Amino acid sequence: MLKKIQKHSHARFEELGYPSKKLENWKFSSSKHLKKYDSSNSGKNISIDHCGDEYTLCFVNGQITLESLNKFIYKDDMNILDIDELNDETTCSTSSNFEKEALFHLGLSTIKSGKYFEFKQGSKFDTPIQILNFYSKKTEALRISSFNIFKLNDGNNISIVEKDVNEGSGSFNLSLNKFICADDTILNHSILYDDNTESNYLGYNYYELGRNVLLNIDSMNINSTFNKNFIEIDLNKEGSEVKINILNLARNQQHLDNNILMNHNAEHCISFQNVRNILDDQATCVFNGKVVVADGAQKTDSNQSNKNLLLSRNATAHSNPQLEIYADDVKCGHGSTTGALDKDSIFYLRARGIKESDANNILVKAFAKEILQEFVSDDIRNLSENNLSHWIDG
Amino acid sequence: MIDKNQQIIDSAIDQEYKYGFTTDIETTTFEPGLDEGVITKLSKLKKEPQWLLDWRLKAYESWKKMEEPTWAQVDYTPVDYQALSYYSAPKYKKNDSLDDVDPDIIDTYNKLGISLNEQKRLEGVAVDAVFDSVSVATTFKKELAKHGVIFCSFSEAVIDHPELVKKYLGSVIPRTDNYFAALNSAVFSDGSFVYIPKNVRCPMELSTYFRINAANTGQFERTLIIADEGSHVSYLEGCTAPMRDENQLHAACVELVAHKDATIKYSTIQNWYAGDKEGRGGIYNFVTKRGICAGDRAKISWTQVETGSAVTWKYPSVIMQGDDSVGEFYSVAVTKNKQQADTGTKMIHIGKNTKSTIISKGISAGEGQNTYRGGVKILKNADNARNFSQCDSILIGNKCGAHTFPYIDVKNPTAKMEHEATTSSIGEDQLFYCNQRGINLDDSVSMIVNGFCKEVFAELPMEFAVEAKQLIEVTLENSVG
Repeated sequence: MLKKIQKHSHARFEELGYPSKKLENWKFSSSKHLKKYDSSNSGKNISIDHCGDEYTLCFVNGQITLESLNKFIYKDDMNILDIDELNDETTCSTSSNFEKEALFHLGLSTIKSGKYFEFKQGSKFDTPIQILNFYSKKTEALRISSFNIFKLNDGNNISIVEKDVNEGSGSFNLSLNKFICADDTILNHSILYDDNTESNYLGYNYYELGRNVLLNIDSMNINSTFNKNFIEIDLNKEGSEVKINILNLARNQQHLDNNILMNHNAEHCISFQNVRNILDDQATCVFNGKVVVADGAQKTDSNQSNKNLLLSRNATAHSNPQLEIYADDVKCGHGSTTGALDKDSIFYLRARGIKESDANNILVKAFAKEILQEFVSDDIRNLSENNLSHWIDG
Repeated sequence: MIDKNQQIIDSAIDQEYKYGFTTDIETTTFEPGLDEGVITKLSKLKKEPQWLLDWRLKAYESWKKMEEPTWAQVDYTPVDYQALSYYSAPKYKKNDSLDDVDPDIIDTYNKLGISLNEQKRLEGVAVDAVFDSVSVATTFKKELAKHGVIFCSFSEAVIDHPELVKKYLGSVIPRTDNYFAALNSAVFSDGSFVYIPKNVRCPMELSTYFRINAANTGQFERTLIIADEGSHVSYLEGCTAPMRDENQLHAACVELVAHKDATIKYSTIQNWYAGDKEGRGGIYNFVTKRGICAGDRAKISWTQVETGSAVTWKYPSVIMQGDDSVGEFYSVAVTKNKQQADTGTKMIHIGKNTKSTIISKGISAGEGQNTYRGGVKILKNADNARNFSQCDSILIGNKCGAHTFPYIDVKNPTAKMEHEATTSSIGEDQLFYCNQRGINLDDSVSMIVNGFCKEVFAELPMEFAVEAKQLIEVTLENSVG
C-alpha cells in the first residue's frame, strides 16, 4: 500500500517542484531555504534515554520507538498497524487540497514507515495520550518526514497532547497526520511547538469528521524559525462542532504561518477559529483561514477571528480570513484586527504606579491569555503559560 | 405557502430589463480584429498626436505578452479578442450644439431618462454622453468653463489640453498594470476628461452616461479626473446596454488624481445588461479604477451600486500617498439569475495618519455569485494609519453564493486595522416582525435590504440615491420566499 502511495507522491512532487510565491498558499512564505534539507540520513537509529511514562507514545525522527509502544498502557485498547499493512486506500487518502501541495507529497514519498492507530470501540481512554516527537539532528540539514493515521471509532473520547522536543542544530520537520473521527466521538488535540533551535516545521493535519463529533484543536507556537501549518477539516455529517485556538509568539526573524480550511459539507455544524499572533522584532505571521459552506449545508454557524499584536516597527502581519458560502440559511462571520498595544490602557496602568515596561507586559499577557484560557488540556495550558512568561521576560 | 413563494421567486427572476432596446442609427464600425494596424487607424481617425499612438502601441505590445487573469471567483466563456470590433461610432460630427446630434441618439438618452437637452436639464448636473466608442454630447461646457473647469470628452482633451493628458494619462494606472488595463490602454476610444483648477469647488455634479449600442463591439473608455489643490468635485457615472444573446466586453479604466486638500467623489450606478435567466448574453464588465491622493489631506471616495453585468471584475482602489489623506469605498453589489460579481477595493496606506473606510454590502439572489475581494496594505511609514472594513452579505435563495476574500498586510505597529464580515440570510424573525405588523413580504424584504444598504446609499448624491433605491427594489422584487 505504502509503495503505491509513495510512487504517486513521488511523481506529483517531481511534477510540482518546490512551491513558488505565485501559489496562494505560499504567497507570503518562501520555500527556498527548505531545499537544502535532505532526508537521506534520517534512517539512523537514535536511542533516547527516557521515553516518558506509560501514557506516552514516543517518536524519534518520525519513527515510533518500540520501547514506548511496548509499555504503552492503552496498547490492548487499540489496533496499531503499519500503514503498509492497510488494504483500504480511502483510509490513507487525504484532502484534495493537500494533493496540490508539493511538499505534502515530498513528505509522503520520503517516509520510511508510518503507523495506523485505531482506538477500539467501547474502550475508555481517561488519561490524555502524550505524543513526544524527538528530533535528533546529528546530521546537518536533515529533513525528517512522518505520516500517521489516527482512527476514532463510535463513542471514543480521546485527548492527545503532542509536544516537540528538539536537540542539536536546525532541521526541517515535515509532519503529516490524518485523524478519522467516527460518529459521536470527542477529540481534543493539543499541540505545543517549542523548538529552541533554528528548526523548520511544516505540518499537514487533516481531520475527517462524522456525525456529532466534538473536535478541539489547541496549539501554541514559539521559537521555531519557520513554522507553517496546514489544518484542513471536513465536516461531513451533521451536528459536529469544531473549535480551534492558536497562539503564536514570534520574534527575531521568525515566520509563523497558519493555514486553516474548514469545509462545512453538512447541515447544523458549528466551527470557531481563533488565532492570535504576537510579533516582535522582524517577525512575520500569516493567517490564511477559509470557511467553505457547501451547497445544502444549511444552519451552519461559523466564525473566524484573527488578532495580531505588533510590538515592533519591523514586524509584519498578513491576514486573509476568507468565506466561501453556497448555502443561504447560514450565519458566518469573521473579524481581523491588527495593531499595537492600546495607549489608553498603558496610561491607565501607569497612572496606578506601574512601570511602563511592566504595563506592556501585563497587556501582552492578557492578550495571550484570552486564547490560553480556552485550552482544554491543563497540562498544555500550564506549560504554555510558563512559556509565555519566559517569552515576555525575554 | 411554498408554492406561492416559488411563484414569487419565479416572477422576480423574470423581471424585464427595461433598458434593453437598441437604436438603429448609421455607424462607422471597424472590422473585427486587433493588431497594430487597427490601433494606428483608430489613432489616426481621432487625429491623435504621435506620442499617444506610441503609448498605445507599447501597451499593445505588453498586452500581447500578458495572460488573462484567472484568480477571480468567476466563470465565463473566454472572450475572443480577435472577434471584437474595436471602434463603433454614430456617423455625425460632434459640435458644441446639441442640434447636430442625431435625434435618434437624443431619443435614446431620453428613453434612458438622461436629458441631454439643457433646457430640460437635470438639476445642476452636467452630462457627458458616451455612445459606443465616442462621446456624443457634453452639456454645460460653457457654464463650467466660467469657473475654469474642463469637462469634455477624452478625444477633445487630447487635442485641446495635450499637456494635461500627457502628464496624467497612465500616472495612476500604468499601461502595463493588468491584462484589461493594458488592452484598454491600447484601444481606448473615448471617455470623459475632467480638470478642476486650484481652489475651485465644481459648481455642479458632473456625470457621464455610457451606452453600448452596437453588437459585437467592445467598449473601452478611459476617464481621467484631476482635482488640483484645494478643489472639490463630485462625479457620477451610469451605464446601460441593449439585450443581446452574445456577451459583450466592457473594459474601462478610470484614473483619479487628487492633489493637496482636494476631494474627489466618484459615484457609479452600473446597470449594464445582465443576461437572461439562463445566463445567456450580458456584459462582461472588467474595469480598472484607481485613484491617488497625491497631496496631503486629499480625499477620494468611491461609491458604487452594481446591479447589472453578467460578470463583474472591478476593484476601485485608493493610494493614500499624502499625509492625512483619506480613502473611502462604499459598495452595494447585487447578483441574481446567473450573474457573477467579483468586486471590492484596495486601500494602500503610504502617508502618515491616512484613513480608509470600506463598507461593502453584497446581496445574492437566484443563482448569483457575489464575491468581495479587498486588500488593505499599511506600509512601513504609514504611522497612525487607520482602516475600518465591514463587508456584509445577504443570501436570498439556496442556490446563490457569497464569498469574502480580504487580504490584510500591516507593516506598521502604530496602525490600527479592523475588518469584520458577516454573511446571513434575511432572518425569519425579521420577516415575521414585519409581517406581524401588516407589512407584506415584498415590502418587508425591500425594507430590510434597503436598511442593509443604507450606509452606502447615504453616500450617494441625491438623484442617484433615489435611483439606486428603486433599482434594488426592482431587482429584488418578489425574490424571497
